[in-house]
Amino acid sequence: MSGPGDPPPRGPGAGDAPHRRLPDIPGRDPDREADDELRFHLDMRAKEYMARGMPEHEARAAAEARLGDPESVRSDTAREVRRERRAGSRRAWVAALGQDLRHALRTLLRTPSFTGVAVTTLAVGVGATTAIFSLVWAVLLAPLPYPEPGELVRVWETSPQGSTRNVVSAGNVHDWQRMARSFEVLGGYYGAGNQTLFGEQGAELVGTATVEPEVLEALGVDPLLGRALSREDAAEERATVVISESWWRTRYGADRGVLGRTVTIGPTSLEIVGVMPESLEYPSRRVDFWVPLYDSNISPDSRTSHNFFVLARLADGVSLEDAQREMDDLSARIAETWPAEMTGWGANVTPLHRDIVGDNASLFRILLGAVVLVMLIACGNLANLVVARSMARHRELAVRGALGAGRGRILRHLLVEGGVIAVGGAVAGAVLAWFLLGGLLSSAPAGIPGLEDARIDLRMLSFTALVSMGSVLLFALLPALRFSRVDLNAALRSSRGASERGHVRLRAALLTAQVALSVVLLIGSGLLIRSFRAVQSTDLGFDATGLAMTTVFPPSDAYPTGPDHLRFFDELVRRVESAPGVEAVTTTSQPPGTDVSMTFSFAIEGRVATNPSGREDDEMLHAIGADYFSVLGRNVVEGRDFAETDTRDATPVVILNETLARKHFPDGGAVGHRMAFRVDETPWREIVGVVADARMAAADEEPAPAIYIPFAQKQWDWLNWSTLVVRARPGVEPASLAPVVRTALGDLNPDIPPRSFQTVDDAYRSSTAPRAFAMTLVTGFGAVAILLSLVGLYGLISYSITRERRDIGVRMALGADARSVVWRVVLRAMGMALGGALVGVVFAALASPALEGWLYGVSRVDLGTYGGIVMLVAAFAFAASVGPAVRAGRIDPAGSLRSE
Amino acid sequence: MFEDDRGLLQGTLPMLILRALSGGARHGYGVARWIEAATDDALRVEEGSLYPALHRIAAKGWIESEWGLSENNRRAKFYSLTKKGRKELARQRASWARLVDIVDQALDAGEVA
Repeated sequence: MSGPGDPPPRGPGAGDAPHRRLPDIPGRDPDREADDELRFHLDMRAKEYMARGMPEHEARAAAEARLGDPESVRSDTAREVRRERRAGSRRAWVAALGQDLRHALRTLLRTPSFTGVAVTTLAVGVGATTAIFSLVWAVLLAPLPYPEPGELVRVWETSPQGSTRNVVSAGNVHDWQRMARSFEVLGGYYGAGNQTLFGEQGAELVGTATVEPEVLEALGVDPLLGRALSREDAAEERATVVISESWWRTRYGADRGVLGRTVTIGPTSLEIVGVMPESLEYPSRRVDFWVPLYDSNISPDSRTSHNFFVLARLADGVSLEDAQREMDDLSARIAETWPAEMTGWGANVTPLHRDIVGDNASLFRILLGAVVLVMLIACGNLANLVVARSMARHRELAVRGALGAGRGRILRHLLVEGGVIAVGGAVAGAVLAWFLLGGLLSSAPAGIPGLEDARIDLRMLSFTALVSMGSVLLFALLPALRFSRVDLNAALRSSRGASERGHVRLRAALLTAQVALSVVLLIGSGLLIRSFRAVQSTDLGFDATGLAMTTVFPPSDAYPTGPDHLRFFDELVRRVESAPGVEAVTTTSQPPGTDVSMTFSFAIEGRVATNPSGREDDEMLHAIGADYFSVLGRNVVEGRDFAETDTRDATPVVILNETLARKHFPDGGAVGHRMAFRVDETPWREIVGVVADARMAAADEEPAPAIYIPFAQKQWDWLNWSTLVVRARPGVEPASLAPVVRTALGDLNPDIPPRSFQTVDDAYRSSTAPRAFAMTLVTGFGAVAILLSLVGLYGLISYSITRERRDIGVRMALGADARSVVWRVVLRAMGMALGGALVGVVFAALASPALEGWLYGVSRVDLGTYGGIVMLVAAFAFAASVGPAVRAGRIDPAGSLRSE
Repeated sequence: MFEDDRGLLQGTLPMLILRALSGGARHGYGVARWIEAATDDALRVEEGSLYPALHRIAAKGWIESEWGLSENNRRAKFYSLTKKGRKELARQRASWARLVDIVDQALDAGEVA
């Protein structure tokens, strides 16, 4: 060994290994550590110099001189010692973490059922919450893709009949534009529609919107190419159009030379003056062409015909309330000028976003509420599992503690184990969310704005993952907290103790809460199912099976006047009627199962209307083929049906539905009176019949008052369309008639593009699609919730029996028979479940107003549903507990006493 | 640069410490003596920077230290090379050799355009 005396060996020889190791003194002051090390160095160096013959004090001085300034060397060294220690403890921590991770994985894999259930539970909670929230975000919360979207508002008329979202008359659009100060800009438009485009691919239907230039200005979207619609386009009636980016890319190959080219839409050729970017999807995503709404349409004198939608942008610093107040004043002034027409009419300023979300808000709020309950139940289940596990491991931890594992070490071990479960669950949850969202998007009802944009919301994914991890970790730490309180010896001596009983109580409380939440979901689902059934079994008032329909717009250049329309549809009906598989054909201006409607005010001869405006309420008008009622199977209950003899030249006639007849002729005897539509007062039409009510818009909408006139006797040229309603012969699938109808239409006029051909059943079904969607999801969530709760119940009962083996054994040894033991267990389980169910019933009753508008034919506190769910939960609790209970009954008293 | 001061070229001290420990554990004084002996006293270790350097290297995990009794029964801190340190030594030797080659080549080069 190299000593101070001998020169050290050259090359990589053996070092001077210590011949005895000394224990480390952890936490020793680094300054002293450095001091010791340096003193040893100085002593050795001095000894070396003395060996060469230096006197001791000189040798010491030389050694010190060679080391340098003692203070700074010591402080430098001490500083590095500190750093070294920090690095060392970091390394040790990482190494221990790795060890804990490996240990945790091993432990978890040894108990695959616990691990599987825990990870699955987490995944369900995280996945479902994330998927639903992603939908909710896209539909309800995501901001509109326009600058300062909060300033965008829609302005509606409010009608004396109480409608708050009435379309606006031209005169009001005119006045609002000129008089209202609250808006930076305000424009009227016709809703998005379909028009016929004649191009290289023949006639096709395209999405168009006829808008005042102010509408695009309000949205604040800059054109991608060219210009937006201008004031001059509207004022000078220019034949211009701006097209969508997607149309430009798909049909023009993104050719920048598209400006100045023309497209033929309907009867007119329009010059393309601009291309609007993808972000412009107003009034609907389907619009590819925006054409100017000419100023001549905004006639200041037109007050009784309500045709326009209005979009506006609030001026800087003007609040919604300010704007509403101004519009209230303005409406009052307008009513003074037009007392007959505008008395009782007002204006309603609504944020555009709220307007678009509309009725969908309540659907998505219900779904969000349901999924939050599922998440809570999942967390509760997880907590229950983890607490159960920690109880089972109480002794293991006590032993580890006794063997010298520090409390921090045990804590970390538990945290790591919880963390592994949490991460596993979160990852599985993300995968599940992705699948769920795909499924939800493909099954969601059509026509929910924004839904197409739904993507997995990463914020929500991380949020739910964090929440669930938090709940896992919180409960994972419980045993460690308890461990600190429990006397080791006691824990080792007995497997039971007061704290363990406390944990059973905690688990029972968690379980009761879970069952309560599940019951809320189940009751909600029960109410929705009942409503759906009630809607489906509602008698529509006509025979909808075997019917299919398509709406036809004869081009107005080829068929300009009423007689042309009549001739066209007579011919079309004749051709379709003779097609194979067709039983009968008729026409109507209102497609059954849709909320398309046309309303008119009218006067009854010899009566003064009681409304403040001096007019009867606006009511729905249907212009129908002469055999409409017989083809649909609706009964004329008074007077006569329309007939072929009710021609254009014959006496004008009208039929009322029962609701309208009751409203205006409460004592009966409507037939024989005369009425006229207020827009032109004449001709007086004779009421020749009353027809039985039918639900023509949707199965869950009460029949609205309705007036029917023969299409042959319509007095307006603009009413040129009709919906062709075809009844299939018995045994013929109505949807299969599409080709023959298209052929008939194409033969009659090839310039009419085919529109969708739909069965009437399908139309009614799509009106109940949101209902079906809500019902399916809430029921699915309810099923998941109760399943999770039952797994928890089963686990708790099994555990309690294991814990009470000895008590049961003693009871049986003392003469209790197996049956009473079984019943005790089952009753306890059912007691817990029923306790939760009763709490859940109260919560459900309190939460039931959330289902407002979704219930049909069932009360929100329907006793049958509430009672049925409680019985169902009791039955489930019985099923979950009977297995463990029977096992308890088989306990061998002698064996159970020996085993401890 | 070597003839008038016998100090160490910047950055070579850690490499020499690793090399000194490659034969087995040593205390700080042993490391200093090894370097002196191995270079025939041509290189003299700046002792004031030796001890901070030892702990800096230890913080990187290349060497580890423990207290023990020295040959004359004094308490001393002993350092030994870790597996990581052995790899580091090989890496530093290789890059040192490359540096020397490159500098040599530059010094030997004629006038370049």
